[in-house]
Amino acid sequence: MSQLCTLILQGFSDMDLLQRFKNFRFNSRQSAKMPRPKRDIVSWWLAVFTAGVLMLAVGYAADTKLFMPGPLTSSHSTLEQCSDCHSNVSKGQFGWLHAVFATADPRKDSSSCLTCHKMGEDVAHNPHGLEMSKLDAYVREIKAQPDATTLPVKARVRKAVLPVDSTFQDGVFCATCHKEHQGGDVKLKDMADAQCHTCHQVQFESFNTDHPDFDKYPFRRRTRVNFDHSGHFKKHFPEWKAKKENAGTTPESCSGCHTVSAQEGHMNVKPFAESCAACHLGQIVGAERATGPKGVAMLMLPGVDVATFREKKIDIGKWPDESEAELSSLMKLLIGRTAKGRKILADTDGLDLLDLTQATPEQITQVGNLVWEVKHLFHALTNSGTADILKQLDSDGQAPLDQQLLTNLTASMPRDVLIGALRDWLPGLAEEITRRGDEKRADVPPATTTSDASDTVTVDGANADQAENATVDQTQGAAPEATQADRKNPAGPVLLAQQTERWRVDPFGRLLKGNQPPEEDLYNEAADEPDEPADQASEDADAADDQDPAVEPEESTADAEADTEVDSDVEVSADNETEALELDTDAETWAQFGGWYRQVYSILYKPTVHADTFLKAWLDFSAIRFSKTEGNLAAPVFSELTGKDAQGQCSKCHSVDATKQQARVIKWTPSSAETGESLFTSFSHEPHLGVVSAQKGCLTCHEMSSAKGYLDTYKANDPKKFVSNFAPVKKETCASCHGKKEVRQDCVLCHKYHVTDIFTPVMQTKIPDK
Amino acid sequence: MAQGNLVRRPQRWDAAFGRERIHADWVKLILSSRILGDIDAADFPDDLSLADIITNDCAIRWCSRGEIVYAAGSYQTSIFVVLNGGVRVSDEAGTEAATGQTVMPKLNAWLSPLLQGKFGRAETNVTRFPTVRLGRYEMFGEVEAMTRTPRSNTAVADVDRTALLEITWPGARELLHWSDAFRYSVEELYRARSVEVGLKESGLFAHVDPETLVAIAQQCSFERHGSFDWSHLYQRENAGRQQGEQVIGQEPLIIEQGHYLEDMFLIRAGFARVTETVHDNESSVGFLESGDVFGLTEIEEGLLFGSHPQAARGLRSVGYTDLIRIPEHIVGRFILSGSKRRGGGVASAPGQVSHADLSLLDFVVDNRFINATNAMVIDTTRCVGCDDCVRACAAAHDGIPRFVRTGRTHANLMVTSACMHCTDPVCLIDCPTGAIHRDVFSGSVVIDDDTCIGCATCSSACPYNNIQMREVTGPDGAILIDEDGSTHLKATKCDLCAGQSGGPACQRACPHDALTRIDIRDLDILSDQQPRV
Amino acid sequence: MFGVARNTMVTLGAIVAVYWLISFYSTALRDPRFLDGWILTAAMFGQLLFHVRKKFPASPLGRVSIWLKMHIYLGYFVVAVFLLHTSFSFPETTLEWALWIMFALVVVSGLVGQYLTSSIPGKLQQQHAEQMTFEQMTFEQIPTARLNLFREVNALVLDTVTPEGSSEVSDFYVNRLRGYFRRPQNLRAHLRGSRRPLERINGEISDLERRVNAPDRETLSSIRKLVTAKYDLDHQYTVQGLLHSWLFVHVPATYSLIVLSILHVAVVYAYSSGVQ
Repeated sequence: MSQLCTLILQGFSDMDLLQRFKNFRFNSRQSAKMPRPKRDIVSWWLAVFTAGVLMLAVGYAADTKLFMPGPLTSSHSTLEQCSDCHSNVSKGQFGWLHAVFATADPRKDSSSCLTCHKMGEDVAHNPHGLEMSKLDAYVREIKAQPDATTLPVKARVRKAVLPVDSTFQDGVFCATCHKEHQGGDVKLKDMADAQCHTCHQVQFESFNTDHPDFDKYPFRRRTRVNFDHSGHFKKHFPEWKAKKENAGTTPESCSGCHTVSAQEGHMNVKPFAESCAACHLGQIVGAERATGPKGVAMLMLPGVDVATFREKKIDIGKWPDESEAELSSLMKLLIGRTAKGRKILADTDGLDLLDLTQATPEQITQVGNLVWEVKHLFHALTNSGTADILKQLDSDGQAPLDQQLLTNLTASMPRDVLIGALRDWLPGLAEEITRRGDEKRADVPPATTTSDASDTVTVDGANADQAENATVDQTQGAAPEATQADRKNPAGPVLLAQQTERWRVDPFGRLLKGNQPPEEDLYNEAADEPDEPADQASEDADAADDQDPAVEPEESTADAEADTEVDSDVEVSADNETEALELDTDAETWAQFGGWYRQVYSILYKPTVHADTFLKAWLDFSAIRFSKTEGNLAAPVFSELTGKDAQGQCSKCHSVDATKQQARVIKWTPSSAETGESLFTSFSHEPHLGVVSAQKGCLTCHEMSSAKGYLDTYKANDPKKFVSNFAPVKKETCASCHGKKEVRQDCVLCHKYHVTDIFTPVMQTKIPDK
Repeated sequence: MAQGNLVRRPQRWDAAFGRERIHADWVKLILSSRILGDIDAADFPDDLSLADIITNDCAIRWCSRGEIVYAAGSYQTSIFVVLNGGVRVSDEAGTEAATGQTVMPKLNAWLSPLLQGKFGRAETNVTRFPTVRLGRYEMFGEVEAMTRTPRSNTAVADVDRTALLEITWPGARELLHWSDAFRYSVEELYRARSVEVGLKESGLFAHVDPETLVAIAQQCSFERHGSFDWSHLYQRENAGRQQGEQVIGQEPLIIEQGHYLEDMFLIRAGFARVTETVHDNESSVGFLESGDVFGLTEIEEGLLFGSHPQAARGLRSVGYTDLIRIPEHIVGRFILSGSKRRGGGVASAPGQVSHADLSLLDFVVDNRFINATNAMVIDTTRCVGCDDCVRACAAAHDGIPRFVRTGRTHANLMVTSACMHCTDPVCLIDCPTGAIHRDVFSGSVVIDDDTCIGCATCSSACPYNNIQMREVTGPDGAILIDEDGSTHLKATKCDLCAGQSGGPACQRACPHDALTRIDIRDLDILSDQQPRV
Repeated sequence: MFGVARNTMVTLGAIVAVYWLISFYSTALRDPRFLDGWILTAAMFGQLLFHVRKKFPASPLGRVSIWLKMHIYLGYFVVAVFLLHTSFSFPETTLEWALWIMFALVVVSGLVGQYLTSSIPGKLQQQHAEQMTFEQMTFEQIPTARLNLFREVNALVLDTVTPEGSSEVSDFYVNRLRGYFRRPQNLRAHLRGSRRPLERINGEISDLERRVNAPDRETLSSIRKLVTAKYDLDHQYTVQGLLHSWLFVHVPATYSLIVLSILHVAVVYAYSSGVQ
């Protein structure tokens, strides 16, 4: 219909045109009927064609690399499957289809990065890889700064348009900064300052223009080694140099003591030998002093009122009357290693051991026990009991110690010196210990009784100690009272029961007699316990009563044996006399260059070198155990070893810091790359050494400060309170170079984003079985 | 050709004009009385009796006081006779008409409520402005009916229950054609009134009081050159003519260059071409339309130097031209005596089509495009022939475009074969049913499909062949066929996308601003280039 | 012209705005590719709307010419955003290349189209004013016009063929002109806008004229007219063809670009790490 209409329409439209173009109607009927223009048909076909080609391409492709927006960086280029990183895409040509509408979890993708680039899994996605608690602390610190709120307009706008908090509340993910598929030679680590500004409140255009000034940089604490630069420069070096024999021993330049570590470019201090030794070695080994102080009294026999014991008929075995020395702090520490020892020390504290006439019987008994403890200690040290002692030192209810440190406590102790000393002081200690040991315990294997005495003693002694340890070990980490309580746990009676059994089968009465007094001791101790449950006490009492009838008759024979022991003692001491005559040098002078030596009733030690293992060990040990609490045994030792004229005077240079638990720690090493505390900032001296002016050198950045009181700060134990010899580095100094265009001055040049170090894990390869 | 279903072709008067037919009693009354002058029913053929004409092509309108019969500027072409009561015709013809002609055609149909509001206030206007009261059996509105111009004044019912006999144009045409008596009376009225109205509208005598004006009017004479239905003549002229060929020679001469000029000419209706003859080669230099004057300067000079004024240029009637001759002495007395002179005339820029390019003027006039109020003009320096305009037109008219993107071209302007909605739409003249008519408000020529009987009169009358006849399809899409086997036809042509929001689709669809619908008198806006992208 | 300046300013403004937004975005540790990617998508969708609008030419949704202006300016905007999106670098992988090429194809064809539509009609019209013996007509009319010319010239030549008459003209016609009138000729010359081929033929005709008798000379001169007419018709055909042809690249390429883009977006989201 419409065709014809148009036909007419066209026909009449223009006469002459009509005549000229017969077919014209046909043509413009096309336009009249408005068929879909040819190009639309072409278009649709091309669209379909494109789709088809794509389908084929994807379908027949080996993998989905087709979709890659760009090549990976060279280091990642070996990754084969897209799904290796794109966690929510499954394998196969069309595996990606389902992922189109699935919401991707950035954490998953990031974790796949972490398989190779290890860092703390838990903190990896926190800003800076910090624990949130720390981060908050830092934020609070920064926000406290006065200019924290001054934002550049640009930053304000950005914060308004694109709020950050919402973006990163569920973590900062690898891909946030490291964008892949940028091509082979793109540096994934590149960061623009503006990217840091995204989160950071304090924002500025560049380091040069408005980076905040440094605050006390680079000093965050006093120097670990107490070295007063200005003092030395002004006073000591000149004076020292004045003596001609010292020529050339003082440094001429900073490099005399300081070197740059190749890696990190951290400024290090030369070892003692190359720096301080020239002047200060003598002070350590004490050769300088005409009359050096006594060495550290490691072991000694305290003076005891032996007479009182005799008249009170209390058996403390053989004890030299001549000894008058007080029990040294070190000895106390050693004795106090066990709960029992501590109890004894506590009871006998403040007593004048040399005059027990006014002492109560209990006290005297305890002093007796003290004596026995000392004897046990010596005995253990001379025999192979050292390990046990160390164990006990380690394990009295505190954090376990470094094994090396422990062994160092006694390792350097020469056994012969000890044995020699014992032969002089406590001849027949072995037998005493054995007897005491037997009294304490009845579990002596029959075989040993027949064998050689000394052997048995050793074995028994060892056994005894081990047995004792056993009880103590159970009580690790518990308070002394707890240990006491353990003594009287239901195990007690059982043990006794066993003993009674043996006692029946055993043919010899001698062994039976020996059992009693220690058992009494036990009960006394039990009785002394204030907080002991009544029923237990009675129970124990019963256990004791069972045996009393059997025990009583043997009373006298014990004394008889004591006498025989005394005799044996005499013989031993006679040997000592003959040895002593041959010695003519005074031990003190003999040991002027350090080492072990014995004097009167103590065995002393003098440091031999800088960083003397023995002293260091005891210092560290006592420092760790240090506490201000009442009856702490480490504190006296520590203060003795760090005292003004203590041996080696370690603490003169090595600063003593208080730890959080109010213990102490000694800073042995000067600051180094390892001790670097700054998480975020890193500075490398090495590249700068070339550019500082020749005459000023280090002083270009580190100007001497006129501030007084450098040394005074070391009297206290707070490293944060300090006065530096040097003025802080000025920002201008850095900006003089790092302000120019050519020189980098971007954030990441000095500030690290990742505070946790990132490393590639070692292969978890199983060791082949065959 | 699809076998259509047989349906009797619609005949004239199948659908009554507008309202219901006039009751027979009324018809008798009208015929018996001398309402229509001494019209004789005998003059009419049997198959077209006077009674039928009155019954079908006339209507009786009852108006209450203050009700508007027609508003100035509206395109309303009926002749009215007062049967009862009275009508006041506002005498503010000049102003009203001016506003009407400029404003009304531009207003869209949807503005009509507002307009009604405007006329609603006409009552007050009537009282305020001097008006002419028309009483019983008086006829009015014939001027516009004859000249197919918009109403020059507003007619308002003076009293309640005013009864008017409205003779629609088809009816009027038949009466004029068959009844000489009626024709004479009407033409007499027309001449008389058009002189008076013309003088008023021209504004030349604004400073003259009405009485004098009447006197003047009597001394002026009315003239018609060419004929109302000039289009057939033009088509004949045009048939053989190749493009660019001169048509001037074939146009009726009003006054020849150099002849004695005793009167000044005031163009009343239609168009006139001002020509200049150099070495026997007559070429148009200007162009006059209703309201323009010819010969003012010549007469002025003549009076100045006491010489006989001669026509400096020739004047030819384009199609038809109604003009009023204003005698020399009146010009001297009333116009040249420091009255404000209405612009135009040959003295100033030649004609109202003011553009430098005379060849363009020739092109426009030769092709009678001068008639166009809404010609579709394509700038061929921009048209890329994408045919989007054609598609748009088709889309806007159920798949069938109503023009072809070809037509007469001049320089970079192509006037395409789309209805240009003439100032003087000759297609309306012979339409038996008045189906093709002007939109009362916009004045754009539209065809009423319901009353169109497909007689093709209009399409053959159109000088530009811009009206096409097309078959009518039934609901099933098959072509309707008459008993005599011929197909039902209806006239179609560009309707300026009437009834569709956004104006002509063709113009909207042109991506390159190449196609515009313009009033040919604004043709010069095309000469200065609109900015491109 | 003011309009052009304003539009250009607006476009540039938009581009700059996007550039800033992107720089902000990337410094806010977000992936700007998603941002400008979506801007690009939106803009391209906007471009498509023009296509849709043209599909409904009569709809009252504003004038198409305004749509076209928007289409063109938005087009420049799209190009800018595309460059930002690709960060001014060539793609590295197959799919990306396909995308890139298709986009380039669409853009280039668009620019060419813009140039042609703005330049050719003017030129054509000018040539008309100067030399054309053939009136301007729509592209659809041209084949018919050609056919009619062919018929005319056939008729002319047939008249010359008479038993006694010589056969030069007809021979010349058969050998030389038949093909010329049959189908469009010398398209390349027309693209260059040169009239040399016409001159050559006319030369040959004038050669022939010397050898033939008066009536044939008559025929030849009228043939010469037709030859010129045909030449101008071919010229119209060529350039108007050009006007129509560029869309045959622009639109289809767009369609296939859409397909590729959809895949692109899908892949991007499938493989996105979920980081904002």
